[in-house]
Amino acid sequence: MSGATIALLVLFPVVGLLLALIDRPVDPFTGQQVGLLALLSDSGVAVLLVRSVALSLCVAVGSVGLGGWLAWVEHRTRVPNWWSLLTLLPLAMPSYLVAATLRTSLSRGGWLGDIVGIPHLTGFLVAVLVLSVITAPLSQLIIGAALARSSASEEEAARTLGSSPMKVFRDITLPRLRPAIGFSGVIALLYAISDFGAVAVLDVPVLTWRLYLAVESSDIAKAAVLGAATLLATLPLLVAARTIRGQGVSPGSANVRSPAPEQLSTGALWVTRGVLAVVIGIGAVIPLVTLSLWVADGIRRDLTFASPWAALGDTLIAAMLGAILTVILAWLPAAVQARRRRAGGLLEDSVYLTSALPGVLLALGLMLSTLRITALLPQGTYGLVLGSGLLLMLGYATRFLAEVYAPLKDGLSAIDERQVDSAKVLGASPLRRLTTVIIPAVTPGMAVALVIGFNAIVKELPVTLLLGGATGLKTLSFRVWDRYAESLWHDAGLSGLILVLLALVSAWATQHWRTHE
Amino acid sequence: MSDPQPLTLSGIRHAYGENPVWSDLSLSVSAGEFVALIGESGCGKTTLLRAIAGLICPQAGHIRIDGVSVFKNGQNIVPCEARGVGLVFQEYALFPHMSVRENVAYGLRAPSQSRVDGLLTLVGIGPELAERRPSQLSGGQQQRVALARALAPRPALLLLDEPFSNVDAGRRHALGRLLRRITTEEGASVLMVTHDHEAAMALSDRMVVLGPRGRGVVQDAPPVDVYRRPATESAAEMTGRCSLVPAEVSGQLGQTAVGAVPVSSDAEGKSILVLRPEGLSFVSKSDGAVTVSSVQFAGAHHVLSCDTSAGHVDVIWSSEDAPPDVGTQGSLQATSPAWAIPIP
Repeated sequence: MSGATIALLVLFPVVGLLLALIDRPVDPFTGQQVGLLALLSDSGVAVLLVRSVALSLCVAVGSVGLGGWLAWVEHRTRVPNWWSLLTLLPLAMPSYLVAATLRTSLSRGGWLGDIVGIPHLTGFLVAVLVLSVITAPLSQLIIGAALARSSASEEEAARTLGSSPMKVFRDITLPRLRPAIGFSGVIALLYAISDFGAVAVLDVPVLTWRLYLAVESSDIAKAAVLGAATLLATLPLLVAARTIRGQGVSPGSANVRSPAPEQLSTGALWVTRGVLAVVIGIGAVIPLVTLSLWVADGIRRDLTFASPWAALGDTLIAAMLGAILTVILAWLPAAVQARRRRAGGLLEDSVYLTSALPGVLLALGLMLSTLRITALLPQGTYGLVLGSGLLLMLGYATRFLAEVYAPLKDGLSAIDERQVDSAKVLGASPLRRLTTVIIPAVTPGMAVALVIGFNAIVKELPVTLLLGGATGLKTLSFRVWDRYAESLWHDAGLSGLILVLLALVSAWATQHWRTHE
Repeated sequence: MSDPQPLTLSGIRHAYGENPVWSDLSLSVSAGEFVALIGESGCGKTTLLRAIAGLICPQAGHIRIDGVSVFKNGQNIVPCEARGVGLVFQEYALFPHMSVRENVAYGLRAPSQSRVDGLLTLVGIGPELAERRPSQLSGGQQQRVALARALAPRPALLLLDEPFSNVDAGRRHALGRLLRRITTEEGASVLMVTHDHEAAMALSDRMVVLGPRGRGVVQDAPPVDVYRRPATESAAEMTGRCSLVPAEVSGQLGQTAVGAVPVSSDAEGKSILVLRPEGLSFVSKSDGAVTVSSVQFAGAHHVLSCDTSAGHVDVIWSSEDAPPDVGTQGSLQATSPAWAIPIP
């Protein structure tokens, strides 16, 4: 199968959206048929577009600033390492959970409301804060990896040539970090522009939130227009991400001697502790305490809890099936790319493009593509497909294709053709070569890919909401969203706690597998 | 009164935790002098360069550069960036995001095109390479750029950390000659750390031998003296092939298990004789106590490895006649006096 054919399959959801646009959708505000370019001149869509882009830009700045500082603290100072481990906790938190717990706890009536005294904690700036804190650990990891690869010798050489520490940072350290800073900025931009849960909870009218409402109300024409606008906002970021990824990692190698960590001054230490406390507080402590308080309040008031086991079971089924399908779907491009032994190209670009699209947009694209195909089949086929869960699984698979693809490709690249040839020369049968050489080489990568897929699906919300409703699957994320909307906080709290626990366990498993790979 | 020496170290003490690196190290480098610092792995050679450059802070002692106290009593008085020393790192440490020209110009207070061009010409980097990134250069070219970069600000002292470690053997001699010529032309005083005893002896005016951890300087002398009159067994071994044979010395004659050997030192009593292979000859003798165990061709001569009752002894066979076969028996004769190191 050629790379182009695989790419076309991977781009299935995008194709549906593009075809819907070619049909010249109706503008939701004017009622007239519009072309793609006319969207920008339309004030309603344009305002959503500008707000979404502004939110993403602010989040990117916040994320890189916070994450960069955390990475510096982790790699260049003697602040105890456990602080840095704690700052990674927000990675396990779904954005809607953080937003919901922050909103209720800090608003008047919440457990911190009397101290903070904010009437209604909603709006643009709160969304920027929440999304910055959630994406900061990603920036911390990316920039931290670049910092770990930076060379002490180069910085020392600059100092012996007369540069002050500040000039060394500006001339030597910063250029090394620039690709990582750029990449983490783009990752944060993509995360923020794709996010739908936090902005919905915090009442920030942006494209994804409006797109979700349009799809939910079955206003396909409106959804197509908003989808196109979302695609328009996302595409430049994807191009930027591809360009930065094409530049490769920042120069340096894993074998260089890293600069020795330094003791922070008292003032800097207090600022650092403050930043760490904000990140850990907003990203982990407040959500966990708030969820626990919701549950405790339910027990105290003797409220009836809906059994969480069904939701847990549905989550496990959805996440396991989704992860398996994602690995199967990612296998082909990963195998082709691993055999080519190079990065980039149409195939890899299509994998990253699909996964970088907002979940709401992907779900819409899948619906539109499936609608086109099932329109040629007997009536009711679309409902059957949607109800079977196939679309939901495909939604998960396309949404997290890139995350699963990367470790899978690494695993497949680990098959050394010379080892296979050696086994062949030593008389091993094809079956023995498969079981003794190929499978052991691929297994660690495949296990990591499965756990990563599982972890991502457990927390996923927009695809679950849009494509899972008809399946009858009520996952934990669905339950949290649903119960929070119904103000049944004790139920939302219990499901939220189980969800976070599951995310933490699978995150630990991912790390465990990575370490033992 | 100002100190005319580009570098003076006195009473330097440093330790990593409980492990002492030097307990009382002193050395100096005179103006225009090329000093080689040799010693076993882990004796603190590179650490010493880093201390001089101000990249680490020893525990005690005094460092003066060009007459200025830069370190005293456990405190760096002058920071690294203001010490005015050039340091060429073992792994070159060129800035990968800058061109060759930008790398060389980096340390200049005022940009000077002519200084950069002049240095690049001096180190043999043509204009066609000046705009390239370091990753586009060969290892030898990178090293020459690193040297030009370190020399650009006209440092009072140039520190070289293992300059030949990443250069293949065939190019070491040419690079060594270039290094000496450039530093002489630039009038730089040099302190070079190296494992390569041949390069150290060929290039330096003076060799400083560091003993094992904590022992500090065990010998500080011109290369000829260190080679012919090593102060310790390790100094003897570090400066070239030799056999160390126990002896009883009396009246400039050493009695060893391989026979009597003339001795050039004033040692008396129990000593270790340093037998250089070129100071011995092998004479075939059917009832000899020495047996040839291996023969190695080394270009201009052969090296015979002989089994003796005192252990292996290497001998140079420079005769145009074919060397003896392995297993040939014979005896050893000293063709020049050996050096005796008294056993305390």
